[in-house]
Amino acid sequence: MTTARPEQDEFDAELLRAVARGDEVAFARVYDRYAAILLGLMLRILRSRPEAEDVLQEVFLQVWQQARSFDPARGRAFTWLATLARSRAIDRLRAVDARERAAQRSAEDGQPVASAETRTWADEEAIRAERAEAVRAALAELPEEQRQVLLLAYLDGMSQSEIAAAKNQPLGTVKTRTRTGLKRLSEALRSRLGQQLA
Amino acid sequence: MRHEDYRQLLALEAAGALDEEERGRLEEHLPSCGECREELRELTDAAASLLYTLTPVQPSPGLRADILARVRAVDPSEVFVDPSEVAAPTKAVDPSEARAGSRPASFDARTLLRGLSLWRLFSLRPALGFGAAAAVVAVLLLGLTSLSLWNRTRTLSAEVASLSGRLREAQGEADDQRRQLASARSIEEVLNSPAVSVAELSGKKPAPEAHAMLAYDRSSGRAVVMATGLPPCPEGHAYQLWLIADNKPLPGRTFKADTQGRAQLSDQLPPNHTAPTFAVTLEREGGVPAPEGDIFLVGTTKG
Repeated sequence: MTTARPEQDEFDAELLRAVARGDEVAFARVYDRYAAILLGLMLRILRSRPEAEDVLQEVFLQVWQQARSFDPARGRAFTWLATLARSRAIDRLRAVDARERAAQRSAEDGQPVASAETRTWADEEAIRAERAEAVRAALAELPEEQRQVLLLAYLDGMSQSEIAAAKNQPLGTVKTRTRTGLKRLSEALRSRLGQQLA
Repeated sequence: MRHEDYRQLLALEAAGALDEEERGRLEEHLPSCGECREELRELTDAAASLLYTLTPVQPSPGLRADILARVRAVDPSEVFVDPSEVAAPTKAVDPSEARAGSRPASFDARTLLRGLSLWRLFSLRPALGFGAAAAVVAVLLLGLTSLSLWNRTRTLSAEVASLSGRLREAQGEADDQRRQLASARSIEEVLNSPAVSVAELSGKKPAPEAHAMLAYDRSSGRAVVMATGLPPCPEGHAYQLWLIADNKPLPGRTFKADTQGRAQLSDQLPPNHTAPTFAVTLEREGGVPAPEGDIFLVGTTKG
């Protein structure tokens, strides 16, 4: 495994190590860096702002309690956060009554975004925007059907069989598209950003 | 299943789309396969980067403070400790060493592992020698203790600040009580003296309702006065006590009455006067060497 790490990843890893030591300032910094991105995911999966913010709280509490289980040798700090957040959101999604959710969905669609409350650190928004641009460009290299299954699986938390049913496609096709799509995405990101994202 | 079959599952796992059964099988394979772990790591990083395609949503105002408050309230003893994490040194794993038999017992607790299971799996290591494991546990406990002490220190600092305030209040109260006690002692000393004489002072024209009791210790010259019914002193004025002997008024201390017209005074007056007369006049604040103002109280000692 390559040990070369871009400074942003190194900084994130440093923050999580500090959180593991009980450093509240580092914890607040992790919140400021990633709360908005993670809440974007929560909202995408849960479609309810109160639910999403509730889960966001749970996630950060878990970050505080389990930061020491993060090992930079095993992957990026951001991936650790994303995995944790996604897993929590999907757990909640399954727990919430489906009908209640459907009602919330129609009521809250198009709800405006609240004003900023996370501390904005100079150039972090620029870094985020740059990464977002690279990911969008890499994703654009994929055929539409591969892109779709990836987003449905990872960002909507749908299982393969759910995707197959929703798209009216054979399960095998869904699996192949997920596999091929993610590998291509990984390669595209690597060629765009070198070690930075892959 | 062969290695190639497991590899087919990696992307699906990274995309979060593997079903429970397949996932379980992959979890059993990963600890023994460095190649699969590395590929899974890359694919999981790629999948996580999909979050960047979403529009960030700023959390509601107050959520940050709520979370920080909740975090501060976490008892360090509640901090999650997984046995597999206790035995997790940072050195890389040699896949050939990691066999199913060396897994900690917690491995089977799948419900606990859930979304983090694969991350946790990466931390599985061949069992450490008892001494090394004990050392790791000791370091971990030390860390928890430090966290606990750190939180405790913060709490204690706040308590110290609050207690300092209360201590100052208590000292103020104690000073008041000490003054009252000293005053009571001096009254007691005067009254217990064999040379004590007592005078009843009655109100004169400006304050006919006024009344006072006075005790004078001839041997020491100490006197105590307790007066009632005195009107409030006008601005810049005070009552003054006089000992009158041989028609000569000798000045005593000045004092003021409280809002109920009461006053209590201890004074050191010239000793050795037999049956002197005492008077209280209203004078300029600070007192005068010879009386100038109206007489409010007057009376002569008996005996």
